[in-house]
Amino acid sequence: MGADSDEDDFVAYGTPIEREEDTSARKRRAIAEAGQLRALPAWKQEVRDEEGRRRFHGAFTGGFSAGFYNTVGSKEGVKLLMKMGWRQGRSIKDSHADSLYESRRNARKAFLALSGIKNDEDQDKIDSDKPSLDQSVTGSSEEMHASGSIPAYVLHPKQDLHGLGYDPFKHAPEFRDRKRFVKSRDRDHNRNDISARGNLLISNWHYAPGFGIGALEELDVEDEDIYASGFAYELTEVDIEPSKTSDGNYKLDDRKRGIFLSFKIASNSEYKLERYSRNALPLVMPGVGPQSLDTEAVSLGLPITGGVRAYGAPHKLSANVVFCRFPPPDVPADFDGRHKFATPTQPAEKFSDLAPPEVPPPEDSTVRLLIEGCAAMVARGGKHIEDFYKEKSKTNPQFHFLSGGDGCSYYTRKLWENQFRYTGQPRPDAVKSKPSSDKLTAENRGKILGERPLDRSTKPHISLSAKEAVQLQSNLIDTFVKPISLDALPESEKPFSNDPAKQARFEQFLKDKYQGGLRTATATPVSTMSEADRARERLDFEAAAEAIEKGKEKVIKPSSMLSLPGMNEQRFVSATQLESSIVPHDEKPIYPRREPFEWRPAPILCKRFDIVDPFMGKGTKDEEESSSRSMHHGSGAGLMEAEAHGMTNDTDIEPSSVQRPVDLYKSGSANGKELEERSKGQTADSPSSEEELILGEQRTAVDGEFTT
Amino acid sequence: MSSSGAAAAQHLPRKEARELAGHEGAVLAVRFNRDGNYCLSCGKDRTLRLWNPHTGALVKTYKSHAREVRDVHSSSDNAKLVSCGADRQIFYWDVSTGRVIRKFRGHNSEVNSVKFNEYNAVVVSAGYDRTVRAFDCRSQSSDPIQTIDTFQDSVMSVILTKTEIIAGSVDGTVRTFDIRMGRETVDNLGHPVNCISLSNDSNCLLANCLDSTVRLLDKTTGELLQEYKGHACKVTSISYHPTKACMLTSSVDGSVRVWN
Repeated sequence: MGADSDEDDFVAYGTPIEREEDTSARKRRAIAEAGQLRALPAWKQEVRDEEGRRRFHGAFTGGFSAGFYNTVGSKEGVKLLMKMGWRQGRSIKDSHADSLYESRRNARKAFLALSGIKNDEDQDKIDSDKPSLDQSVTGSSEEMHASGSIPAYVLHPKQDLHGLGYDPFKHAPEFRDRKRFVKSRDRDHNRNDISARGNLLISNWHYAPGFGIGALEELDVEDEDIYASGFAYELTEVDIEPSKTSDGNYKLDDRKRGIFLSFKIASNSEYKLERYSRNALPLVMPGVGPQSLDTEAVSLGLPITGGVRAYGAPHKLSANVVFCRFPPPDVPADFDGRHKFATPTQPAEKFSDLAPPEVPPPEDSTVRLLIEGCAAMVARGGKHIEDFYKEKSKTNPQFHFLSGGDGCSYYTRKLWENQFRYTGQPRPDAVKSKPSSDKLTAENRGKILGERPLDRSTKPHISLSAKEAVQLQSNLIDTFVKPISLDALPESEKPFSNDPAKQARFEQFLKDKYQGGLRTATATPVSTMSEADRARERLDFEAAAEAIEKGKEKVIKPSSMLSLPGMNEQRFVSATQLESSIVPHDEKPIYPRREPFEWRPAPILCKRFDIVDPFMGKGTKDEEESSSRSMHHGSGAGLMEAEAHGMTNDTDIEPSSVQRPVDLYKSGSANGKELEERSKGQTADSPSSEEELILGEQRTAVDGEFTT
Repeated sequence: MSSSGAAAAQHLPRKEARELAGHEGAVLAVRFNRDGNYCLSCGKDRTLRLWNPHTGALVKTYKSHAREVRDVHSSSDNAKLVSCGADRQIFYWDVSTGRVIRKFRGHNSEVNSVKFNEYNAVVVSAGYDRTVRAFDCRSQSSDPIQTIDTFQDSVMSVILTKTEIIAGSVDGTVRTFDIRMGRETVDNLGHPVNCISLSNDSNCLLANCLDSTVRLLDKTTGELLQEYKGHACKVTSISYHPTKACMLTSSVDGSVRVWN
């Protein structure tokens, strides 16, 4: 047992552990992370069973509970385990070939277990079925390990119409056995009631998303679906092959799951199915036997998950739903689809010739006000308002004017006036219109509603002058404009009232600037004003227009609706006055006309033209500060030019504005002259240098440029 | 007609000196260069041709346009050409090599007329898309530096002075854009203006209108000075003599007229 003997005695066996230094960093990390799952991507973390089917559908947030349909740990789960394969001490994992069938079988068993069917008969049946199947399976698996002897298609012959590889229940294994349930049920009706009841619960609660109870819970009072209809539902076989159903009167919206809610209509010989519409109401018809259900089934195919057949009374399978169609009601022969008003509407010709004489108002001012108000309302509203008032005021002595008392003539006069104003002049072609509402022209309707019709251009109180074309034009212009507009400026807002010509030009300027529509054929005097004057005037106009706009905003708001109609009238009247003042009686030709507008040249354009940007430093519309760029051209050149041309009128406006921004950039030097001189010296070179450039180019370019 | 005018008229060319044949198809514009030694023609066959009119020789052919070439202008140093056409493009050529230096893009429709400015730094073009666009030759960009879109209809011709851009349009207006004043002056003639020209003293503006009249306008006041009705049909082009007080007009009726 000495040190030496230890070394001699020990023998190495097995693979040695890798030493830290030998492994690279990457390997080490790989080893360390080998068992960790936290870096797995989401798609790797899916739980799949042995066949690769996903378990735990939906938004699984954790809390795995294992087992078939959450049966782990429960009594049923243990039972299942015992039944499925632990009985034989073997693992649940079966041979591959029959595993599909096995799992289906197992699922079916699970349903039965969960449904709580205590029917021993059934259990026995199932059990009796199962052992035989089990034996066949186990037998087969004992004989052959890898593949089953009996192919699946023999055990379960294909009876559906979809393709060979198509598995309709690929994503919905819950429904797989149901189909078989239905099939087996239909084949023999013995188990009708039981399976129905079993499926009742299942269909109600376990396959609608979001519903259901846990594995460890049992159905209780509080789990009842209180909103379920009184009908008991049953699985039906309206499946992926809709052509199976005989009648064509159905609608299949959702083919995904393949099982629909269908209402079967009893095929009673007394009722013809073709006449049934979808809106027909279901009737419960007790006493009709279940046999008739299956013949001539018509399903309406309302897609609700879970296949159901509606029944009349709960748990009464013998009840059937019958659709009945009610005929439309009988219309009386004299029915006319129009409402008859109590009082007839005002016929048009009522006041056509009736112009009550002008009567002085009664002395009492209150009565007068009453009369006027009443007349206005009645004129607007109609005769029934008058009747209404009459009724109301039988006792009130002030309202005697309504029924022939004092002031009655004044009242009638006022009424007529109001009506006249509202409905325009009496029309000569006023056809006798029926009091009933059968023949309602637009005008009558407008009258009834108390509308004011549009003013016609041929108003009698506006004389038709020779310039009516112009007026028409002005009306057209005016109709393009919003009611309270700059069209007719109120007296207070005529900035150039002392100079009517200028004011006229101002109005024209405003029109051109703000309004659409036709342009009147007015000519600005062409040669009376010089360029500069016109430009200055234009600037004045713009300033005035801005001032008016600001003022207008305040004016518009307080104007009440009541005064609006009045204002409209006033507007029309004043517009014509305006037009008459503007319409020229000059003999000058209308063309050519000159109009100045503001135009902003781009700074770089000015630079290329070697011109001072007239808008330099004013903040262009594009918010480009061009001052820096045109500066070195700017002050020197501009001043030079100004001096060269003299301070003429033309450049009157601009150089002054040019100089101002220059001042801004003086950078503290109080001596403007200094700056000018400096920049003059600077920029005096630039134009000349440019000229030199050009000359140089020309000199080099002239010869030999055009040789072939 | 004044005596000086009559005398001037005597010196005007009366007979056809030479025919420059070469274009295949209609010739849309003919322009002299700045000094008058060469002339450029452009036509429907999509080519530009440089001629020496005095010898009648074809100097060079420039082919690059995809559609008919509508106008051409040479720079004052005879080194560059600018041409425009129905393919919406404006080509900036180098004269001696015949290569396209740049293509100015920006017009949405056919370009009717193009001009260099005094310093050959800016190319101004007028197009069917109702715009007048100015392009910068000195920079590398091929986009316009300014677009004028106040016209109501196709702009047919444009001329440049030292401080102004003047353009005539089918909407009946001749608009003067004064760069120095920052103003657009609209002279509404009432008739579609096909072509405009400036007089020598830059005081008068000639505009020929599609009602077969040529109107002489005062540039500063916009007043109509004269109207010339002589052509039976539409006047297509107009040019003012550089030194003498007379002008040339051409028309659809096939004649060229000289006016005093």
